[in-house]
Amino acid sequence: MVDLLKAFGRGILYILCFPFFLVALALFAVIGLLAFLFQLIKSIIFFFTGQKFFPELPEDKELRLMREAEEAKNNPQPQPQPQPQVNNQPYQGGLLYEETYDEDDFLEEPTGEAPLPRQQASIEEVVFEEEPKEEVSPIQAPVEEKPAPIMQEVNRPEPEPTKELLHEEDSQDDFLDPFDVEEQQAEEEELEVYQPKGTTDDTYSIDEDDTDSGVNINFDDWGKR
Amino acid sequence: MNPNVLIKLTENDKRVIIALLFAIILLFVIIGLLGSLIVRTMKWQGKKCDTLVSDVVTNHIVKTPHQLRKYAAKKNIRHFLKQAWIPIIIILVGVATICIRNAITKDWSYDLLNYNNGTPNQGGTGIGTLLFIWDFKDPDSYTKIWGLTLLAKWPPLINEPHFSVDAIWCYVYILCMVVGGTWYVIAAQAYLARTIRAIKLSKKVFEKSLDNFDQNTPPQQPQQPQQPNNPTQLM
Repeated sequence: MVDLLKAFGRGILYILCFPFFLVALALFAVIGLLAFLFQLIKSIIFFFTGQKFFPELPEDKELRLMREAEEAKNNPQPQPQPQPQVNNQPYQGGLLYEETYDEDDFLEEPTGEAPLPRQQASIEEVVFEEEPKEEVSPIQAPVEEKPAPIMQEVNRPEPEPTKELLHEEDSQDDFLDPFDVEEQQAEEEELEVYQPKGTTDDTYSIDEDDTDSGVNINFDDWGKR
Repeated sequence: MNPNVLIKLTENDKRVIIALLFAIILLFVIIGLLGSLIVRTMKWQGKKCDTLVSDVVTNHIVKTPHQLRKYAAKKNIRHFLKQAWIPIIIILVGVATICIRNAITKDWSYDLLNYNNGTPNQGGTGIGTLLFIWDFKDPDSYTKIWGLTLLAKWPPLINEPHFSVDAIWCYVYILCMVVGGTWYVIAAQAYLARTIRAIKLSKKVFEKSLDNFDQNTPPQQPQQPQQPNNPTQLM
């Protein structure tokens, strides 16, 4: 009930103040419209003079300078220090490498000794795409001879198994069903070694004596075929 | 008391008066609630002023209420322009629509409230085609009571809402004006709210209070930085 009466009292107050509010609102709307037109003209001028539509206020500029000074104070930029040059080659122009070693620059040695840095490409190799010069590293690390890696042959047809091996397998796998053995034999027969078949181009005769002078293609058999 | 001044109220009159009283109270309550809603909205809109001026105030770049009001006025008008350019363009589009229509038809005496082409509920070139229109000029709808002309009955309906292709220019114009105008008024209200907030802030931020100050209590000594024990640290 009290809230209702409060709202009632506010209602009377707002009715009395509403005309003033409307006047103030209309005034600000008109001021805003005039400011918009004024800013429009200014913006056109700023556009042709290359300035911003809203130039920085003096207070904002002062704030920005203050923040920049604080940032510079809190995060001083490190001075560049001269680093020892690892590469003994004289500078011949072009890009300079930053002498840093990453983990990828080290060879993994199975001996457990200290890894050696991988030889970096010289400037000439990168810039002028020349072949890298072979340089002997000052320290030769003992390298164990590794066995040749077993290369897995891909798409190479396996040799045809002999009948004796098949019989041995048959003797070892006596419990196998004879039909399975027959199927296996049939599959092995299907795995033949690829031999390129002769094409129609092979029928053209090529004189072996004239191989030095190029390929001689005769069309003697053209009408016969 | 003069008996001629006394008014004799019947029971029915009393009921009517009580009903009217309740209706007026309800009306004021509704107006009060709407006013409270507007005030809350304006307070919420005025909070944007704090965001606009807080950096400058907290870094002690503005040091007087006058500087704060001046700076806040600049920031407020800029923020208003950023908010108001879209509704202004919408309004301009609406005005351009009507101007183009008038230029095409060469009819600059265009009636925006036209509601028919002479035949009831047909045609029309204005927004009146979408409105209910009653004929308040009908003399038969009025009566005279104690010398006063009062509305005796609901006037006859002369137009029902209907769509007219000829009025499509007016539809676009009215739509742009309503949307853009409402948007612009809200932006202007926010501008007013920020200005009021800036005036309040300029008084409040620089206010110095002696409520908790006691002259008899000794002032606290500022803490000195601790000296390092090892003198080599000074090197």
